[in-house]
Amino acid sequence: MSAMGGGPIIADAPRDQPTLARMTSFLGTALGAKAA
Amino acid sequence: MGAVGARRRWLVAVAGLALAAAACSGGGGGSGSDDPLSGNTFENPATEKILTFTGVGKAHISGTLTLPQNAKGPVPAVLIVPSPGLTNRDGRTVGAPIDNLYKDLSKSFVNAGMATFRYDHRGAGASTLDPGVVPTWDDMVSDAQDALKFLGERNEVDGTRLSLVGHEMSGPIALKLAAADNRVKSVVLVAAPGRPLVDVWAGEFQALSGQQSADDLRALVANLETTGSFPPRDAMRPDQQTLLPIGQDALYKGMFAADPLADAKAVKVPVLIALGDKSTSISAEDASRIGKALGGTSEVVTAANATATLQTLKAAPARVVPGTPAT
Repeated sequence: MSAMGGGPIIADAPRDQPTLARMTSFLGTALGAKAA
Repeated sequence: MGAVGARRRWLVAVAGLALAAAACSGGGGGSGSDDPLSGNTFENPATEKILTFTGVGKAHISGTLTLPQNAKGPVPAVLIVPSPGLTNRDGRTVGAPIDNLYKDLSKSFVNAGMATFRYDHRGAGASTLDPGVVPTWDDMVSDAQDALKFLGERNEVDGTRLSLVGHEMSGPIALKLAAADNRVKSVVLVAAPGRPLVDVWAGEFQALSGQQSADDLRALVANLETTGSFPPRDAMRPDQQTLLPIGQDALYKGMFAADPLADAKAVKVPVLIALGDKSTSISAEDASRIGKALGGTSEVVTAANATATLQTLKAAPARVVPGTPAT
């Protein structure tokens, strides 16, 4: 449902790394995940 | 990129989506050789498994389970619930520009020691439907519930440590699952609405085409709620013809009727609400509404200069005045 709008979609554009890192650490903390 | 340019790109994208959806309506279209969503392949055969579970109506839902390298024993896992519509496990939507949001999220989560499961929505990719079968909003909800059950029962996964990612209108689905299942330990929402979908879209159309366009969209949705279907596409404004795929009326009726915050109060686990500050539809207002409605703690993370799918926009080129040294 990307047709909802949300701004331009740009093929292969990088994700915002600080946000991606925060999402990952948030989930990892809640789940007690440990990187190999 | 200017706002007008961005909106033109968006309209091109949704036009393609509508055309592709028309071609795929009735099911089974997702598996055709010309389908851009076909060909789900292993990126890393050692850690990826393509699996199938059975959804309501005996629909075969295909997804990818990705495990961390060198995982020893069951690992915690994240279910990435795709945005409703013709969206596949990577985050790509038929007819729209390539955007592998879910695949990118998966890589990051897996590198941190979590397994992920992401699936093709029924009618998209390898999740085919019988001819004449149309997806509904309830199907989207039950498929997510079935996916969570399926994931939690896998031997490779610690079924007591699960989390969810919801994107756009799968955000409310993720909250519904989290409210009902105590195995879910946290939720991440990406570009999730905190207002009824019609308000989000009306705001978008107002920005794109003016007040009359927004009013017309509201009339279309009111008619959908009453009759269960949209009028013939040639009776719609051209810009709205492109937004509303043929054959998806039942799904859209359910989505427009859904209250995105209906289950929020019952969610007690931590929720992270992510959005891009250049999104043209989902805003800080949505994040604020969700946060206030939740029954537990929440945190908002805003990606600067980024789209709704957290893609960073290119910075405007620096202006250099002739005769001045570059700095």
